[in-house]
Amino acid sequence: MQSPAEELKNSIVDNQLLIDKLNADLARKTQEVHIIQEISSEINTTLDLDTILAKMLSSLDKTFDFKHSMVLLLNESGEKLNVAASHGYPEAGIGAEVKLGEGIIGVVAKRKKLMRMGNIGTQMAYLKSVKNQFAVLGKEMQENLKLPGLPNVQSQVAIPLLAENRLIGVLAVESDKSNLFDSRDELIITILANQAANAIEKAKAHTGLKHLNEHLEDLVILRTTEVVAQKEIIEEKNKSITDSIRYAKRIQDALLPSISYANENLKDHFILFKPKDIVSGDFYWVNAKHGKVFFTAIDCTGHGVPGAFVSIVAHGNLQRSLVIFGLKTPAEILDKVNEGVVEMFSKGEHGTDIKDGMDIALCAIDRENMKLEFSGANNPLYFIRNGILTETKGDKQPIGHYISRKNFTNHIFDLQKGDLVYIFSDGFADQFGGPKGKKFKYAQLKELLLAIHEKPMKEQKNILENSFEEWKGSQEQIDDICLIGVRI
Amino acid sequence: MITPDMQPALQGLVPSVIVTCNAQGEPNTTIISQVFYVDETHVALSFQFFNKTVKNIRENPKAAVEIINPMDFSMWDLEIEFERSEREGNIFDQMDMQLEAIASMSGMTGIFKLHAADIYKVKSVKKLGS
Repeated sequence: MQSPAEELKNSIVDNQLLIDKLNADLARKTQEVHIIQEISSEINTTLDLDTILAKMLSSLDKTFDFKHSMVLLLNESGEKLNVAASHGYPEAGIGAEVKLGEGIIGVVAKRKKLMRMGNIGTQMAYLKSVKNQFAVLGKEMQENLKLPGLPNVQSQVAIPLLAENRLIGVLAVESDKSNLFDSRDELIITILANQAANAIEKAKAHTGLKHLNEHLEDLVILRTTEVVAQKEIIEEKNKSITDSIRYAKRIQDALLPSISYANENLKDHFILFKPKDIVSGDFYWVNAKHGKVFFTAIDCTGHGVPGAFVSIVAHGNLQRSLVIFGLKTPAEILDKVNEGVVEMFSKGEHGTDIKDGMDIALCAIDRENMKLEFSGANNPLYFIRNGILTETKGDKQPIGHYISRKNFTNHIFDLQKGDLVYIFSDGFADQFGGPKGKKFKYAQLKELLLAIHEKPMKEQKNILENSFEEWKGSQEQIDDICLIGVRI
Repeated sequence: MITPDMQPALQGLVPSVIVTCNAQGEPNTTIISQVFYVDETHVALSFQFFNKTVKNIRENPKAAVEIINPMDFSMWDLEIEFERSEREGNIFDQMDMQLEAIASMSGMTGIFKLHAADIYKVKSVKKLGS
């Protein structure tokens, strides 16, 4: 029998033992929480998937003495898991495959539920004996599956890695000893698995973004290369087109009268010729015939290449009318030119008549008889005598298609020495510019011509040119310009 | 009732012996691979095939089962009484998953199928040899 004192002593000793045990438990718990925090913060500081997995598995060994572990990730098809990291095996076995529903890991993945078994070997042995019995009965049996992991595994905890309830992989810890893991281990591994799942998702998103970025960069480089190549092609084509247009300009220039021919026949005169582009829809023509000097400023519809084509047609018809048909008055010539142009442009294939044409102011000076003849298609004649500018309008019809056509009017004037004759296209008066970005207009052109008409012709040309540039300013030249002045 | 030191005996490492009786009181004994822990007052047995144990229990719910700790071979005798059959829930899933995993590894997928988890109330626990 124990004395009351001994009883008391024993109970104190028992209590102390219990307190010690509780303290030890508390200490272990505190340490575990601390370690889990450490591991999770370590996992979360990196975005590299391999590093995350390696750290997680090695800390399971270091801290909790779980010697063999692996992480398998679900592949894109969603039907298989592949070993992404392993720890504690003679061979890493990275890439080894587990189908959903196969073995502990496969079943955990399929069901998205954790599994802890401590008797795998025993269970396998039990099923083997059942299988042998079946075999004895003559039933055909499949071979055991070959799965990644320890060959003689007894205990395993497998935990699904879930991101918002979506399976991304499985964390498996195993041992060749029975009943190695208890429910507390299960809890720790679960906490780590959750951390890992988050970190894996983050890393994957990061990698995805990185790949996307790299892809975009590649794409940018590719596109840039393409654009540069296209730019080169365009530059090459542009150069070739420009070269061909420059050559066309040489042909067009050859059709213009030479300076000496113009000087010889027009005598005191100027020609202000400013094409908008390389080749021009405007052009001028001088031809001495029948004792007269015919000269004209022509504005073919459009400018640039199409204008230039029309100008060739116009030139041919002027020459033909004067030289071949031997026509003697500007009006007759314009009628004939019109006839030729209409005929030529009516031959458009597929029934497409060409509506293009031209405006012309055509003069003929007869110095011997001191006569001036003028005929105009839309364009007028400015005539200055004794400081007075008289405008003679051309007929209100172009050369080319026109519905209510009549014959051109032939105007005849007596000339006196010092009279000034100006003909032009609309490019000068139609130019936008000035302080308000408006058209130059004919009124201003008249004023300008009146202001400068007494100056030498060469100087007039310079003033007109400068006035034009000044008016235009930074604006674009809108059309070709041709302006001819002759002093009698 | 079920204490932590009994846990290793409920992991299926050493088969357990179960004794049941039919309605007439005729006894039957057999070996089962695992007695599963449910909670402190309940255990579960797997119902895979309609064998004599299952049949007897449906007639007479009382049974006795002996479990063994594989570490030190200490043994417990449990008086248990059939309460219900579960075909879903945590315990069923746990048992079903283990069976599916092991069967698939053995190349016997589909042959072993958990029909139900039979839940028993633990009426008494007696440690043998004490």
